[in-house]
Amino acid sequence: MKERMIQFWRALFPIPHVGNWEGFFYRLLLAVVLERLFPRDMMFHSQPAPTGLAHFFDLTWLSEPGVYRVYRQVFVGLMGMMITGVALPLTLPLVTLLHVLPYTLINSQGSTNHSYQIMSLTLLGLSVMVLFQAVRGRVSFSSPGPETNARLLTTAQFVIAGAYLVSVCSKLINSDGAWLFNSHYIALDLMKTNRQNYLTWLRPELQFDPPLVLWLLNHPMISRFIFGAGFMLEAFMFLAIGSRWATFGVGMCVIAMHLTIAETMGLLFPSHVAFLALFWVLPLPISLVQKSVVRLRSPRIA
Amino acid sequence: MRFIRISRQVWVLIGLAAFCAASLLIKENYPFSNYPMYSDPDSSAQVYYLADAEGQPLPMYELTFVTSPNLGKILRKRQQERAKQLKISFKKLPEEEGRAIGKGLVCYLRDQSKYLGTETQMPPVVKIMCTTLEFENGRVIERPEVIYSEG
Repeated sequence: MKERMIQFWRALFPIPHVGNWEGFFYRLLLAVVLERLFPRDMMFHSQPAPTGLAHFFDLTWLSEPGVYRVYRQVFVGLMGMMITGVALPLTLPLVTLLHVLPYTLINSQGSTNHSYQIMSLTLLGLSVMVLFQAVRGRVSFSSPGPETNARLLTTAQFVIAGAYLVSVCSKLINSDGAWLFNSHYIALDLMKTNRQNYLTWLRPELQFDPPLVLWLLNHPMISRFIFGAGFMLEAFMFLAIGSRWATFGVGMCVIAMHLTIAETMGLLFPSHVAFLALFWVLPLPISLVQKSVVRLRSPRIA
Repeated sequence: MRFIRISRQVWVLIGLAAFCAASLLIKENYPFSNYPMYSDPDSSAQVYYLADAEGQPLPMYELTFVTSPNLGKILRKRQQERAKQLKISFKKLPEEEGRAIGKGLVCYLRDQSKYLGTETQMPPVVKIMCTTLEFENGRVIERPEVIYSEG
């Protein structure tokens, strides 16, 4: 038993080999995801309840006529540079800053939308890591090597797992440790979210109560088991960091959890799903493809 | 001088603990968050919405770019901040304070509507409504109430 525990401990958080092409592929897909999800227009022109950097700076200039369009183009241009990997210690922090500002203004309206943090936080984590690598002399103005690529991939995985772990801590703190026991009431939140969706858009197709809700409320033990499984997944997903097989399995499970939430609550977190797919699920298929390419190219004995 | 060599595994766990502690302390300050949503499930839930003088719901996202959950969050945040200023419990907020907060919130919604060019579609009198959903005796009961009404 002790031997097995030691083996498990030593195998935790391995550092994968991430080659130049693989690193390029992640940067490319990261830029595509960020561009697709970045707001097309700035719909808010005031910051009545400042949050984050809005405590120190007035960000309403982003909503001035014509400003946001140029801002978005600069952001996309910087991401183009980021994809090449050139001057990453400069481009990545700039992309992060430009990503944070509009979402800070959006979240300074007095209500917090939790769809965006995972993107900005991951970028922030990547920026800190690339600057750390620059200070160590491991990355400069040329494209990053395998060591930096591996550290960037595991940093992204770390930030994503960390965000889920924070939500687990909040559940335990805010419910005085009774979250699992009361988790069947989440079914009432399913009903609430459906009502909110209808009342936001007033589309008739959104006016329904999922039949599952009453069933879950009347079967608390089964509900606790279902919601508890999601809770455990969020709590222990960090153990998979670094391992391509483990992140693939856990990433697929968390994506399945999000898709189930989307189906029952009409609440999809596209940024979470995209980032899980990119940094947790994709590393395994990429490495399998790379291995099969190497196998095909290697000389064979007739 | 001897240095203790800290393994990769310990570094990751220290990093995670620090990340969680920082996020819980910094709370909602973008891009940080303590992700409090659905963290305290109980037997009741509130749904907030914008309605006309007759209490009929309005397409609030189209009119103001504010969603129903965000309306509730903004209202609660303003109520909590005011209660903090008055050094009283959020539940003991006087009625006139509640009205002032409701008025301020409707002003913000009208301002948003003006910015988006939808002010002509906003009725002259709007209400902020709240429906409480409660699970009692195997059934979900709904209790609607007016939080604030113009005029």
